[in-house]
Amino acid sequence: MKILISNIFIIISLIFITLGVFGVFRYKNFYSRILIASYVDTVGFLFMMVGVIIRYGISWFSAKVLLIVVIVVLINPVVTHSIGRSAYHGGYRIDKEDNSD
Amino acid sequence: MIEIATYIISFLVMITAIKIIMGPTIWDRLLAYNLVMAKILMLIVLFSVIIEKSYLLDIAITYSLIGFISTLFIAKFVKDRGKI
Amino acid sequence: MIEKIFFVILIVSAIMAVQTPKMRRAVVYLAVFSALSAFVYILMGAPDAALAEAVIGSTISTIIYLAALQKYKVFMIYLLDEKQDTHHREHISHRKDPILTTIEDFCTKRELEPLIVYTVDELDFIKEKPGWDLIVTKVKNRYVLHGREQNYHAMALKDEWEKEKKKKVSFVIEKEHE
Repeated sequence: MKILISNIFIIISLIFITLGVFGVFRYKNFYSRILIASYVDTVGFLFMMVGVIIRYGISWFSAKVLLIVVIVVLINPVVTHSIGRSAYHGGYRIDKEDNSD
Repeated sequence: MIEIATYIISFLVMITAIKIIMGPTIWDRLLAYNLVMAKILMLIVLFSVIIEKSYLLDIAITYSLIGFISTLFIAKFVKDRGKI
Repeated sequence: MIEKIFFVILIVSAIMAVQTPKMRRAVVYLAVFSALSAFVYILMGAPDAALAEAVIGSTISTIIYLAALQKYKVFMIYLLDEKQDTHHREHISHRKDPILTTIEDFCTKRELEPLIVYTVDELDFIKEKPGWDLIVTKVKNRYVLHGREQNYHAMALKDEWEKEKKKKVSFVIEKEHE
């Protein structure tokens, strides 16, 4: 039963990760790409780690995975913000009128 | 299921590496590099699930703690035009 | 099977790191190379080497490369399209102006790092900002290059172009006015 639930979570996370990689190629606007790459990928990561934790129950393995989840949730927005800030202050501008994406 | 997931994620790593090579600007490359780092982190965790050894998770913790520093420094290097 | 995929990516990123003309791209490729090789070490059954590679290769060597790259000076090139209605979104990725390859060759020869910024802002707005070295505008198949008089790299570029007598390029030099 545990294995089944964790497999379902891992399948959901694979769908999210695939959509994230697809969105990086699909969108032409750079700031949309930042949004896709940060949100969708973090959600996929969270689902996969929750699947692994469910698979192992309460143990040291799950504790280490939980530590990784906490670190990634804290650090990943910092990196994305840094890239976006670097692009904005470095002069990467897209058309302001173009709101189609 | 875990093995199939590792295959799919390594295939996605390959596609993201194509984005690193063909991305028009340096920021696209940094974004794709960030994605590759997150996917390798997932792969290490899944691989430690497959062989059922928990010491690989220590490597994953180190990877997640230290892997973001290079991205931050490259972004700052580009923003300040050649100064760290 | 997984190793073979990662071997292919490793070889491609190593070749790209050697082949690319821009130094900062080579830094990114080498960072990718280190990050992937750490995982390949784990697949090969050497987690201690993977730990060392993740710490040293992916972080410290990248910062050392960036510190070495500070010797290079950055040459800021703004490229703007006057016709804003034809400024299409795929402009950046698909079409590369032939004048840019000439400028990049010039920068590689003089050990400069070209940083090209595509923009749709007005010309005067860019000239107000500090830090530009060259502005390229394109009016009806003619290129107009704006440079400053006290910038000797831009003046050397102007001299090189006037020696070759290219028809389609004209140069505008800004005088320093107090």
